[in-house]
Amino acid sequence: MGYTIHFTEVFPYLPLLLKGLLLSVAITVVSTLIGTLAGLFSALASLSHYLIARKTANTYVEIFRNTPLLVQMYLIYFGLGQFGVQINPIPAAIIAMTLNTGAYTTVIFQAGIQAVDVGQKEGGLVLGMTYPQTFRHVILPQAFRIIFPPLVNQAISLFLFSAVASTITVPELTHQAMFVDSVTWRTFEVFIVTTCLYFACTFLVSILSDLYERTRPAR
Amino acid sequence: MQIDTMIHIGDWLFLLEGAGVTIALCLQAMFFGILIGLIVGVARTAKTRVIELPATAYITIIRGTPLLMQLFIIYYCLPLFGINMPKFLSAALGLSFYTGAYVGEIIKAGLQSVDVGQREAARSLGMVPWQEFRYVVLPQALRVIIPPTFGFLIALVKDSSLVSIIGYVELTRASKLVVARTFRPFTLYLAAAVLYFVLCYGLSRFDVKYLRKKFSASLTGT
Repeated sequence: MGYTIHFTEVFPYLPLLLKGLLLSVAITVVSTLIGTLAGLFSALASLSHYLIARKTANTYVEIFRNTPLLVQMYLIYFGLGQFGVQINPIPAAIIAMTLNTGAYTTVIFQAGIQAVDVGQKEGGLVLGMTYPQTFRHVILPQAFRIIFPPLVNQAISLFLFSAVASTITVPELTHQAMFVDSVTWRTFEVFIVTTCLYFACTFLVSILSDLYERTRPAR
Repeated sequence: MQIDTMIHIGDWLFLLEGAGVTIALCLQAMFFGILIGLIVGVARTAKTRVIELPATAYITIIRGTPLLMQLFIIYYCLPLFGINMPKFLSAALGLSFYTGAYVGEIIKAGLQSVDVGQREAARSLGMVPWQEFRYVVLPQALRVIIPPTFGFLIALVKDSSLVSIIGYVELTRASKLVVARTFRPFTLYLAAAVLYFVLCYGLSRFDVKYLRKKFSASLTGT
């Protein structure tokens, strides 16, 4: 078949792709930061003594972990339109990604907090600390060591799935790639370059997190 | 809010049919993915670098790039080189390669979890490498491999929604098609979400109630 590969035709559009990449990274970082914080509080709620807090947190987690991010995005971006509520693409994507990653980080925090020996909590309380102080100064630092790797994995996974935001017209990397494909007709080259850009980011993050884990002081 | 008299019974059946397609797609991807994963996972534990390196590269690349890009490359790029295939095959192939990488990594971890003393004991009993793998390593590794593989199947049901973007009509695409005609996006995407929820939650209940109990019992029972 007569398809010859011309990567040079894609190069003029590299700045556009990089701009898309920047937006992909930006929406992932914002969603990860807010989502992780939400996950922390939701995990606390799910481990609390209050039945309503536990039920609410667990329901949130089950709903968002058992439905696809794509459908969650469609519901927020297209679905709310049925009630006359129109959210712009970027905020809609960030809301969906934040709620989604919040559910996953809840489970990570739950496991991390439960992995810390109960004697540590009792020790903190015996020393006269309040529960929030014990949590902040005794439990969380120890839990953090356990949950750091899965939190990084979750952030990487969210970055990879941020590609679906292209379907609700967020001009991130995949969306820009489709645009470049439509003007250059160099489908193969565009998608290979785009895939390499995604890969470079995830590879860099996993190397950095490995380095961080290796260099941080042992207990 | 208007009550949805616009949506006919046929549309709901269409969604259910889409859910059926999603299940079929996931089962096929799982079947071929486990085959790929078995090869790649065993290759990952090989001591020969020529065998180990391609397997590691494959897993690293698939796990480091978006599933959507992998689907785009298979669906849009292969025809450029004269490889034409129906949409179903593109979707199934993309999901199989994706599954293969994740399951491969799970299998590798499972194989490595078997104590080296077990292999040595098998050898000293006069077993050939195949027997050692089949009767000593694999049965022990499977206990470690099966629970996370099942967990991946649950994730795959959700991830399979991405094949709707290349136009393959499964649950998500089916709801999108009905939305285009009825203009009831919330109702229909909610219905799709409920169907996904039923599938995934059902699987995870099965996992917690049956699978984990069985495997933790077999771990302590022997």
